[in-house]
Amino acid sequence: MKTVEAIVALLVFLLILQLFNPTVRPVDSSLYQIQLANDIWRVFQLRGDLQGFNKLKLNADANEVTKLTSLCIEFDEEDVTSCIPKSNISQISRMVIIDDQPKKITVKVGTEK
Amino acid sequence: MDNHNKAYISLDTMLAVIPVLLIVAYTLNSMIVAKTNYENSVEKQNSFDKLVSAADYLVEYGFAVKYDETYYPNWIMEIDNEVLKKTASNSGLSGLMVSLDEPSMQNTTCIYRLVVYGADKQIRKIYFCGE
Repeated sequence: MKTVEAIVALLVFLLILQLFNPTVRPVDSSLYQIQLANDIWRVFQLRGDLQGFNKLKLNADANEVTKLTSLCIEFDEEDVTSCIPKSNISQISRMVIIDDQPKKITVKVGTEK
Repeated sequence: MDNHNKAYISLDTMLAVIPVLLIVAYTLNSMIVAKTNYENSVEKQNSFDKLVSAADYLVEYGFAVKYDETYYPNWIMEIDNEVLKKTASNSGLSGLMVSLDEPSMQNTTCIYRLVVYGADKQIRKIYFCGE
């Protein structure tokens, strides 16, 4: 009788062990992703794309960044998109002057899949 | 109690010990695996964070173009080896390598940052590898 009880206890224990199976935590790269989003903004800034908010130049540079990094770039409510980011999205908000008016825009950066 | 019954109880107790020992062994093993995984995760996270911090410093100040006491983060003209050596020794990483071309190293953590390079401000990736 004791043997049966012990075997049942072992089986229950193994089932519980499966639920709490220790796994390796993935590296948290959220800060790095925000830094990358800031990099993209600074690249646009340094290349003069934000002076007058030149959408042609912004789109061309966004496509260039996507070609280099496979990261999708999308400006909220503005026609600047290299591809639609779907996962690992980080976003930053910045103030820009568009048509002599200050406007807050959000840049989304992420992978396509 | 006759001998037959006594023998049965002894055998039953003896066999019951095996699953109990297995439970103890699995518990200890799981604890060791969990501890090792946790230590590896913390170590990986630490070295990744150090690499990210070192790369951030180099992109924003170390390698950045400086005109009239003003830094231009993400604008790089050249990779300054002196700055790289100093940053590597201060970052706590066992080695820090920087390259504008994709590194071929395996078993090393590498990240990249986006910069504009040179006077013509070409968009480039700059790779940082270290452990």
